[in-house]
Amino acid sequence: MTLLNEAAETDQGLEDYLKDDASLTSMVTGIWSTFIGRKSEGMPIVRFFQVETDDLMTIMGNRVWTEIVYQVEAIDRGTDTTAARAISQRVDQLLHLLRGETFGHVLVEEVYRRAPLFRRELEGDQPYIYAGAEYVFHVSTP
Amino acid sequence: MATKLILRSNFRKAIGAAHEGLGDAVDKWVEEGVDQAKSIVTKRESQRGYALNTLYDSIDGDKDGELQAHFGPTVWYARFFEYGTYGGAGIEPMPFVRPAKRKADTAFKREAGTSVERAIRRRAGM
Repeated sequence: MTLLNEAAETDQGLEDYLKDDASLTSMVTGIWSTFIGRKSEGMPIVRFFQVETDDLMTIMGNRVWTEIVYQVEAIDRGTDTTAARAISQRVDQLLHLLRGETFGHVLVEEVYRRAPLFRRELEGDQPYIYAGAEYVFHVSTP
Repeated sequence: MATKLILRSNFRKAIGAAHEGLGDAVDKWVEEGVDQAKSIVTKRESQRGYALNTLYDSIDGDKDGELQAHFGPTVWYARFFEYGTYGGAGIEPMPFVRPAKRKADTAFKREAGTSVERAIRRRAGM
Protein backbone atom coordinates (compact mmCIF):
# COMPACT_ATOMS: atom_id res chain seq x y z
CA MET A 1 0.00 0.00 0.00
CA THR A 2 1.22 3.46 -0.87
CA LEU A 3 0.90 5.83 2.01
CA LEU A 4 -0.55 9.07 0.77
CA ASN A 5 -3.50 11.34 1.12
CA GLU A 6 -5.99 10.16 -1.48
CA ALA A 7 -8.21 13.20 -1.01
CA ALA A 8 -5.37 15.63 -1.71
CA GLU A 9 -4.11 13.63 -4.70
CA THR A 10 -7.59 13.37 -6.17
CA ASP A 11 -8.25 17.06 -5.66
CA GLN A 12 -5.14 18.08 -7.57
CA GLY A 13 -5.69 15.41 -10.20
CA LEU A 14 -9.24 16.53 -10.81
CA GLU A 15 -8.22 20.14 -11.24
CA ASP A 16 -5.50 19.20 -13.74
CA TYR A 17 -7.87 16.84 -15.57
CA LEU A 18 -10.58 19.45 -16.04
CA LYS A 19 -8.09 22.13 -17.05
CA ASP A 20 -6.63 19.78 -19.67
CA ASP A 21 -9.88 19.65 -21.60
CA ALA A 22 -9.80 22.27 -24.36
CA SER A 23 -13.54 22.08 -24.90
CA LEU A 24 -14.29 22.86 -21.27
CA THR A 25 -11.68 25.58 -20.89
CA SER A 26 -13.02 27.32 -23.99
CA MET A 27 -16.41 27.59 -22.29
CA VAL A 28 -15.24 29.09 -18.99
CA THR A 29 -12.96 31.80 -17.66
CA GLY A 30 -11.57 29.64 -14.89
CA ILE A 31 -11.66 26.30 -13.11
CA TRP A 32 -11.24 26.50 -9.37
CA SER A 33 -10.80 23.97 -6.62
CA THR A 34 -10.16 26.63 -4.04
CA PHE A 35 -12.29 29.36 -2.60
CA ILE A 36 -11.87 32.50 -4.65
CA GLY A 37 -14.14 34.78 -2.72
CA ARG A 38 -16.05 37.59 -4.24
CA LYS A 39 -14.69 38.38 -7.67
CA SER A 40 -15.68 40.73 -10.40
CA GLU A 41 -13.79 38.85 -13.09
CA GLY A 42 -15.41 37.12 -16.01
CA MET A 43 -17.97 34.39 -15.80
CA PRO A 44 -18.84 31.58 -16.16
CA ILE A 45 -16.53 29.43 -14.09
CA VAL A 46 -16.32 25.88 -12.82
CA ARG A 47 -15.89 25.39 -9.11
CA PHE A 48 -15.53 22.13 -7.23
CA PHE A 49 -15.02 21.17 -3.61
CA GLN A 50 -15.08 18.12 -1.39
CA VAL A 51 -18.36 17.54 0.40
CA GLU A 52 -17.34 14.47 2.40
CA THR A 53 -14.71 11.76 2.49
CA ASP A 54 -14.61 8.30 3.96
CA ASP A 55 -12.38 5.24 3.93
CA LEU A 56 -14.95 2.74 2.73
CA MET A 57 -12.96 -0.36 3.45
CA THR A 58 -9.87 -1.06 5.50
CA ILE A 59 -8.40 -4.54 5.90
CA MET A 60 -5.63 -5.21 8.40
CA GLY A 61 -4.89 -1.50 8.50
CA ASN A 62 -4.64 -1.25 4.72
CA ARG A 63 -6.99 1.10 2.97
CA VAL A 64 -8.74 -0.63 0.10
CA TRP A 65 -11.17 1.99 -1.06
CA THR A 66 -11.62 5.66 -0.34
CA GLU A 67 -14.81 7.50 -1.18
CA ILE A 68 -14.71 11.20 -1.93
CA VAL A 69 -17.86 13.14 -2.74
CA TYR A 70 -17.38 16.28 -4.81
CA GLN A 71 -19.72 19.08 -5.63
CA VAL A 72 -18.81 20.20 -9.13
CA GLU A 73 -20.77 23.02 -10.70
CA ALA A 74 -20.79 25.71 -13.32
CA ILE A 75 -21.46 29.19 -11.99
CA ASP A 76 -22.74 32.00 -14.14
CA ARG A 77 -24.00 35.49 -13.48
CA GLY A 78 -27.37 36.53 -14.91
CA THR A 79 -30.57 34.71 -15.65
CA ASP A 80 -29.72 32.87 -18.88
CA THR A 81 -28.96 29.25 -18.04
CA THR A 82 -27.62 28.27 -21.48
CA ALA A 83 -23.91 28.47 -20.67
CA ALA A 84 -24.19 26.93 -17.21
CA ARG A 85 -26.17 23.99 -18.55
CA ALA A 86 -23.73 23.38 -21.40
CA ILE A 87 -20.76 23.52 -19.05
CA SER A 88 -22.30 21.17 -16.50
CA GLN A 89 -23.08 18.75 -19.32
CA ARG A 90 -19.45 18.79 -20.47
CA VAL A 91 -18.23 18.32 -16.91
CA ASP A 92 -20.58 15.37 -16.53
CA GLN A 93 -19.19 13.76 -19.70
CA LEU A 94 -15.61 14.27 -18.55
CA LEU A 95 -16.17 12.88 -15.08
CA HIS A 96 -17.78 9.73 -16.42
CA LEU A 97 -14.68 9.14 -18.56
CA LEU A 98 -12.47 9.13 -15.48
CA ARG A 99 -12.95 5.49 -14.62
CA GLY A 100 -9.61 3.68 -14.74
CA GLU A 101 -7.56 6.88 -14.91
CA THR A 102 -4.80 7.58 -12.42
CA PHE A 103 -4.05 10.76 -10.51
CA GLY A 104 -0.43 10.23 -9.60
CA HIS A 105 -0.51 7.12 -7.41
CA VAL A 106 -4.28 7.16 -7.05
CA LEU A 107 -6.44 4.97 -9.27
CA VAL A 108 -9.95 6.22 -9.96
CA GLU A 109 -12.02 3.05 -9.67
CA GLU A 110 -15.31 4.70 -10.57
CA VAL A 111 -17.15 7.98 -10.65
CA TYR A 112 -20.89 8.33 -10.56
CA ARG A 113 -23.35 11.12 -10.03
CA ARG A 114 -25.15 11.07 -6.71
CA ALA A 115 -27.48 14.00 -7.24
CA PRO A 116 -27.93 16.80 -9.75
CA LEU A 117 -27.85 20.34 -8.42
CA PHE A 118 -29.37 23.49 -9.80
CA ARG A 119 -29.89 26.77 -7.97
CA ARG A 120 -30.76 30.32 -8.84
CA GLU A 121 -29.59 32.71 -6.16
CA LEU A 122 -29.73 36.44 -5.67
CA GLU A 123 -26.40 37.38 -4.14
CA GLY A 124 -25.51 41.01 -3.54
CA ASP A 125 -28.32 42.16 -5.86
CA GLN A 126 -26.96 40.02 -8.69
CA PRO A 127 -28.60 36.84 -9.96
CA TYR A 128 -26.36 33.79 -10.08
CA ILE A 129 -26.90 30.38 -11.60
CA TYR A 130 -25.36 27.20 -10.21
CA ALA A 131 -25.65 24.05 -12.32
CA GLY A 132 -23.81 20.87 -11.52
CA ALA A 133 -23.97 17.78 -9.39
CA GLU A 134 -22.57 15.78 -6.53
CA TYR A 135 -20.17 13.13 -7.78
CA VAL A 136 -18.97 10.12 -5.85
CA PHE A 137 -15.35 9.11 -6.50
CA HIS A 138 -14.12 5.70 -5.45
CA VAL A 139 -10.34 5.70 -5.50
CA SER A 140 -7.64 3.30 -4.40
CA THR A 141 -3.88 3.19 -4.16
CA PRO A 142 -2.73 0.08 -6.03
CA MET B 1 -53.28 -43.67 16.07
CA ALA B 2 -52.62 -39.95 15.76
CA THR B 3 -49.96 -37.78 17.25
CA LYS B 4 -50.12 -34.09 17.83
CA LEU B 5 -47.99 -31.07 17.08
CA ILE B 6 -48.78 -27.90 18.97
CA LEU B 7 -46.73 -24.78 18.40
CA ARG B 8 -46.92 -21.60 20.33
CA SER B 9 -45.76 -18.93 17.88
CA ASN B 10 -44.56 -15.45 18.75
CA PHE B 11 -43.81 -14.56 15.12
CA ARG B 12 -46.78 -12.22 14.89
CA LYS B 13 -45.30 -10.24 17.72
CA ALA B 14 -41.94 -10.25 15.95
CA ILE B 15 -43.34 -8.31 13.00
CA GLY B 16 -44.49 -5.48 15.25
CA ALA B 17 -41.25 -5.68 17.15
CA ALA B 18 -39.18 -5.23 13.99
CA HIS B 19 -41.19 -2.13 13.26
CA GLU B 20 -40.62 -0.84 16.75
CA GLY B 21 -36.90 -1.59 16.53
CA LEU B 22 -36.57 0.33 13.27
CA GLY B 23 -38.41 3.21 14.92
CA ASP B 24 -35.73 3.27 17.61
CA ALA B 25 -33.07 3.34 14.88
CA VAL B 26 -34.83 6.30 13.24
CA ASP B 27 -34.65 8.13 16.59
CA LYS B 28 -30.93 7.42 16.61
CA TRP B 29 -30.59 8.76 13.05
CA VAL B 30 -32.14 12.08 14.06
CA GLU B 31 -30.08 12.36 17.23
CA GLU B 32 -26.80 11.56 15.46
CA GLY B 33 -27.59 13.85 12.52
CA VAL B 34 -28.31 16.85 14.73
CA ASP B 35 -25.23 16.20 16.89
CA GLN B 36 -22.92 15.82 13.91
CA ALA B 37 -24.27 18.86 12.05
CA LYS B 38 -23.83 21.02 15.15
CA SER B 39 -20.37 19.63 15.73
CA ILE B 40 -19.27 20.48 12.18
CA VAL B 41 -20.70 24.00 12.38
CA THR B 42 -18.89 24.59 15.68
CA LYS B 43 -15.59 23.41 14.21
CA ARG B 44 -15.90 25.36 10.98
CA GLU B 45 -17.09 28.63 12.49
CA SER B 46 -14.11 28.74 14.79
CA GLN B 47 -11.76 27.95 11.90
CA ARG B 48 -13.17 30.78 9.84
CA GLY B 49 -14.00 33.29 12.50
CA TYR B 50 -17.73 33.22 11.82
CA ALA B 51 -20.40 33.62 14.50
CA LEU B 52 -23.10 31.20 13.46
CA ASN B 53 -25.02 30.96 16.71
CA THR B 54 -28.43 31.37 15.09
CA LEU B 55 -27.64 28.80 12.43
CA TYR B 56 -26.34 26.43 15.10
CA ASP B 57 -29.42 26.88 17.29
CA SER B 58 -31.73 26.29 14.33
CA ILE B 59 -30.35 22.80 13.67
CA ASP B 60 -32.96 20.37 14.84
CA GLY B 61 -34.73 17.22 13.78
CA ASP B 62 -37.83 15.20 14.42
CA LYS B 63 -39.82 12.21 13.32
CA ASP B 64 -42.41 12.89 10.61
CA GLY B 65 -43.99 9.48 11.02
CA GLU B 66 -43.20 6.12 12.49
CA LEU B 67 -40.40 5.48 10.01
CA GLN B 68 -39.79 8.95 8.61
CA ALA B 69 -37.69 11.73 10.00
CA HIS B 70 -35.73 14.82 9.09
CA PHE B 71 -32.95 16.96 10.51
CA GLY B 72 -31.23 20.14 9.43
CA PRO B 73 -31.12 23.89 9.92
CA THR B 74 -34.24 26.01 9.61
CA VAL B 75 -32.69 29.42 8.95
CA TRP B 76 -33.17 30.47 5.33
CA TYR B 77 -29.53 31.31 4.66
CA ALA B 78 -28.16 27.91 5.72
CA ARG B 79 -27.83 26.79 2.11
CA PHE B 80 -25.32 29.56 1.46
CA PHE B 81 -22.96 27.87 3.91
CA GLU B 82 -23.77 24.32 2.80
CA TYR B 83 -23.20 25.08 -0.90
CA GLY B 84 -21.15 28.28 -0.74
CA THR B 85 -21.76 31.46 -2.73
CA TYR B 86 -19.80 33.19 -5.43
CA GLY B 87 -21.50 36.58 -5.40
CA GLY B 88 -22.66 38.64 -2.48
CA ALA B 89 -20.52 38.05 0.57
CA GLY B 90 -18.66 35.22 -1.17
CA ILE B 91 -19.02 32.38 1.30
CA GLU B 92 -16.66 29.45 1.14
CA PRO B 93 -18.66 26.22 1.08
CA MET B 94 -18.74 24.43 4.42
CA PRO B 95 -20.96 21.37 3.97
CA PHE B 96 -22.39 20.31 7.32
CA VAL B 97 -25.73 18.65 6.54
CA ARG B 98 -24.45 16.14 4.00
CA PRO B 99 -21.49 14.89 6.05
CA ALA B 100 -23.77 14.71 9.09
CA LYS B 101 -26.25 12.60 7.13
CA ARG B 102 -23.49 10.15 6.26
CA LYS B 103 -22.65 9.72 9.94
CA ALA B 104 -26.33 9.46 10.79
CA ASP B 105 -26.84 6.76 8.16
CA THR B 106 -23.97 4.76 9.65
CA ALA B 107 -25.43 5.18 13.13
CA PHE B 108 -28.83 4.06 11.83
CA LYS B 109 -27.42 0.84 10.39
CA ARG B 110 -25.51 0.10 13.57
CA GLU B 111 -28.54 0.83 15.75
CA ALA B 112 -31.00 -1.07 13.57
CA GLY B 113 -29.00 -4.27 13.97
CA THR B 114 -29.34 -4.26 17.72
CA SER B 115 -32.61 -2.40 18.26
CA VAL B 116 -34.67 -4.78 16.11
CA GLU B 117 -33.34 -7.81 17.95
CA ARG B 118 -33.84 -6.07 21.28
CA ALA B 119 -37.45 -5.23 20.46
CA ILE B 120 -38.18 -8.77 19.25
CA ARG B 121 -36.80 -10.24 22.43
CA ARG B 122 -38.77 -7.77 24.51
CA ARG B 123 -42.07 -8.46 22.74
CA ALA B 124 -41.58 -12.19 22.57
CA GLY B 125 -40.76 -12.26 26.24
CA MET B 126 -37.41 -13.86 25.62
